Amino acid sequence: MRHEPYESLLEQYLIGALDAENLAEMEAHLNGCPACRLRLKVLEDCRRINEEDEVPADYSSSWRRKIQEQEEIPMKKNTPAWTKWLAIAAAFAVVLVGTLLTGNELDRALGRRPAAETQAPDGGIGYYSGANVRSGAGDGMAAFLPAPEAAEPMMWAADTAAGKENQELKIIRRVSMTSGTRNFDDDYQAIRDALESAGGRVESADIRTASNGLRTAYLTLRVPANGLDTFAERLKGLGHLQAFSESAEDVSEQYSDTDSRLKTQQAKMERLMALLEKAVSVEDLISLESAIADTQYLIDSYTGQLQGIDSRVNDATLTMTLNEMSALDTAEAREETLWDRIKSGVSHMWQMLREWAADAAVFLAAILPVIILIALVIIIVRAIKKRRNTK
Amino acid sequence: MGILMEMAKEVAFTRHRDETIAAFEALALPLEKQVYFVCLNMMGNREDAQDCAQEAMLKAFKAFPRFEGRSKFSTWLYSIATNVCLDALRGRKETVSLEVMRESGWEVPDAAPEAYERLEESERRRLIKDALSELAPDYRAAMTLVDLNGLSYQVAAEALEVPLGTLKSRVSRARDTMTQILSRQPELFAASPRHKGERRETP
Repeated sequence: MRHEPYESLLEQYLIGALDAENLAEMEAHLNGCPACRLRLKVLEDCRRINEEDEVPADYSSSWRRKIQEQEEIPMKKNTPAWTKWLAIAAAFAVVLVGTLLTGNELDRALGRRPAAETQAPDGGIGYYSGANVRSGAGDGMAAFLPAPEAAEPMMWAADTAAGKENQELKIIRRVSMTSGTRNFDDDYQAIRDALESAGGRVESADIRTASNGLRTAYLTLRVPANGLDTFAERLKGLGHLQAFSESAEDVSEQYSDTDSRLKTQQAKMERLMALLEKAVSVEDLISLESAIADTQYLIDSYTGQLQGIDSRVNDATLTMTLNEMSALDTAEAREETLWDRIKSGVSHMWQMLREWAADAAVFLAAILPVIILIALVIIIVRAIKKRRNTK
Repeated sequence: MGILMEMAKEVAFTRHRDETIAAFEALALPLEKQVYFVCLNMMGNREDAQDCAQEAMLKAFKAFPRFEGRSKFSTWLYSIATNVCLDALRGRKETVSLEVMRESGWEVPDAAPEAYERLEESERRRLIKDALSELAPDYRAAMTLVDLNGLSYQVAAEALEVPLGTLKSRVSRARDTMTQILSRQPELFAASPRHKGERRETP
């Protein structure tokens, strides 16, 4: 039995993409081939395998907490051209010396850094340009979203603006923000108060105390979607906003798919009920009841799914990380003053200087054997000349 | 002077961290569910799935500053997640080799599709999940991405870092094996028309 030609037909059949001719061929084949028929049903089920499973409640907050706790985040360096040349030169010297002196210890010790430097393309990803996500620039939110993922929120904004007649649109909105505060307890209470007046609820709240005694609250809040913007604005006013992001997921298609499946099953149920009225034999009754039970199960399951989507559409999710800050931090974290900018400028310059010094040290260390070698040669040559002269 | 430098460095780092986290979350939050489900299908149970999904998120975050946008972010994230799962599965060392199932000449019985269809949806799901856990990890990964999570062949091939042709043949063979395993299920054929009172309680 050869199935290969039917594999791609089967896939197209599954998504309803076959034209009449191929459809007829596929159906003829399906009729005579239990293996393909089973395969088709299994594939249909595969597509819906995760529909009943829920994501664990603490999954989101716990990975977000883990990334917050990361102490080391590699900096994406915008290395000036000359340091790159220096690094290349150093790499070159290292390779030269390495091959000259078969001792590859040095090569191994130094090899990594130049390779990383030369390979790095300048600039790179777009998110870096969105420096305005940070403090005081709340109006520039989501500016850093790369194009493909940003498309959906944009569409959403356009759709709602364009006309409200499209009531079928199902959008799940999420907002995520991070704030720092010196008045942790007050602000935490203020969030709870704001939540209550917005008619929202806490889905999860997790407060951790770090080793330095400062606390961090990880909150997952559910807020009626129409009050999300007002609520987010209120939260932005608390403490000092460090990061803000927003997303919108269009689940309209998924919703209408499930909805039409539900309607199919409901129609089936009506037919079964009508049959049940007319049923006479016990056998008929039994098989009808079994079919009714199965259909009811499906109806319940689809209704549950629709309610789940509705709940997520009606109530937006807002995840908030509230960092307690020491007095020192808060002084730093106000709006960017001239003083802040000077400090940050100095720090950048200092960092560059240190990197340069490190690079120079690497370079010097790398060419040291060459220098020694050259020096040796010069000394020997001079010594020979001297000897000749004296002769 | 030294203290000032320390403070300035602190500020620079905090700023860098906040920006990175915000950018990462904006991209990753809409995908977190899908990542979890890929892990769930790969690992077969909720605990391992959550561990792997979290590890994948953390790994992705650590590598995020080096993410260069050569592929879409989602593809990149799926790739990390499946690799985490594959590593975890290799650690388990209890997987059945696909070769075991590749006995030639196995024919799916004529009644199998009908018998399968008669089962309740939740039972069918459980059977599929069981069968999935019998597939060799690479094949499970291919089927998980394409058939269970709806990725295109192209994207799945990128995520698993294999050529398109390899991926297609893995998916196809995984499906073969899956149907074979399913058609051997004794309960598929033991399933006689059920009475309402006899309905199996699903776990």
